[in-house]
Amino acid sequence: MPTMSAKPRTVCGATLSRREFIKAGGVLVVGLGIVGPELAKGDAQKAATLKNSLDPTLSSSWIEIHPDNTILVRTGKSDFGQGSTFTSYRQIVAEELSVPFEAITTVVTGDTDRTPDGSGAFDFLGGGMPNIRKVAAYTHQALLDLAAGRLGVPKDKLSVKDGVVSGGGKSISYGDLVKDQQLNLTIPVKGDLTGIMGLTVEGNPPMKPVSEYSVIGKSFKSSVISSKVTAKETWATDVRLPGMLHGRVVHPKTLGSTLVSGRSTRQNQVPEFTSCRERKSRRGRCAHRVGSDPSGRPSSHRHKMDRVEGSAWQRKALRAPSVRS
Amino acid sequence: MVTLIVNGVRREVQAPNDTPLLYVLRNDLQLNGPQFGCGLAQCGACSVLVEGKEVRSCVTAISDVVNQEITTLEGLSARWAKQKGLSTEEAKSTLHPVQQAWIEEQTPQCGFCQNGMMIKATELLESNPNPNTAQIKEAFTTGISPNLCRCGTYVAIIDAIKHAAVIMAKGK
Repeated sequence: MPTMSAKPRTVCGATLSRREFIKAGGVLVVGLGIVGPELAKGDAQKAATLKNSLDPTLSSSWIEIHPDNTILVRTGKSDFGQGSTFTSYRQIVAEELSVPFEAITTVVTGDTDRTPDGSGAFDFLGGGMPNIRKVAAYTHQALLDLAAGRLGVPKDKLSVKDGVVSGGGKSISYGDLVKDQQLNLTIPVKGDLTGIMGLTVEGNPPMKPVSEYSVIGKSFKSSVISSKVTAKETWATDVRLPGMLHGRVVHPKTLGSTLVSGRSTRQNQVPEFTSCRERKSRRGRCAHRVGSDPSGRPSSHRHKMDRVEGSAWQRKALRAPSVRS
Repeated sequence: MVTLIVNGVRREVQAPNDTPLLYVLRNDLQLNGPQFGCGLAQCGACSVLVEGKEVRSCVTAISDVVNQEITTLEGLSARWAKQKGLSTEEAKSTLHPVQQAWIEEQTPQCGFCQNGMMIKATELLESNPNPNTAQIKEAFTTGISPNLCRCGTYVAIIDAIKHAAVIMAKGK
């Protein structure tokens, strides 16, 4: 049975609370509390309001520990092949929590509506890495705290290996610690989610000594390569939205071509045709960037669901001009 | 109406003859392996095999490939299974050696160009089962244009092709 009191308590600068007992499942959600000017001024009332405004059932959280011993990590940073979020961040979290790399089964990334920290890929190392490391360290301390209560063993007598806390001849897994409860760990952060640098995790939770590292320093395979190699990955360019129009830039076949007409009879042949724009090159000798057939051929049919190619004309469905070579 | 043979299947496509093959593959046949990179045949992200030859589908009109055998990234496994005479069951669980090697060597970074790299590698290995580094470089830098990777995975690609050659020599 859970032994934790309903009253929130502080663990190394983070606040651990239990929202309710739940019949099945259970989770430890690591959310964020804003350290704002109110807190700096000692306005505890306002600070409390700010903290409480972050509902852990919303997804504005970093780490979830699940009763089946799996772990979910969220980061607003997008991985473009650097391996940071799907590999390095998992290693960092696994290391601080003393769980196997494979225990982190889900990495939610990129979508600022579903991730906590904002900022960009340029900040993987400088900001993102210390953030996720601190979050994991706070979480580790909270789990030790829970285990100390449950096992009746002082926190400093506990050790963790592969997600199992042991001490005094007793042991319990992280999953069992969170089972049937909804626990919320609120950690101090500052910054602006929508700012260029996003949020920064504050405080100094105890970190695992580097000498004890067993996950960081090893090589792990990227979990996203297989889908890229087998054409199962969904790319941004694969997204089709209802009503999406098709745009093309039409280049002439040869240098020196002259645009005859940007509104060929194709316009009449394509019911979905919406518009065509013409732009001549600097020298005015060839017309291109009108609709987009690299070969200069008149452009094709397209459906309304087609993807847009090219960035300059995303709201336009462009049709081919006739080109005279 | 144009008839294409894509990954071993005959497909009827409602599109003007001059439609670039890439557009038909992605938009009409939902084959998203080939990518739209430059649209000018300069990068190779859109590559497919036509009768075993690497072709830039972004500048290839569908009328030019009627009734020719087109293989996309999605069809590489089946292509290998057919070449090796694997059973249907075996074929389902078998990746093309190039794909296996690409995973084992952890070749892609962002991966956007790798469709073309794997298509080019397949073309090369089908004609030269054991290429050396110079031959690999030559294959990837001559022709209509070099295959470009802005992440800079070229060294990993060379390693992966050599690895694929070993897998192919073993026959599975």
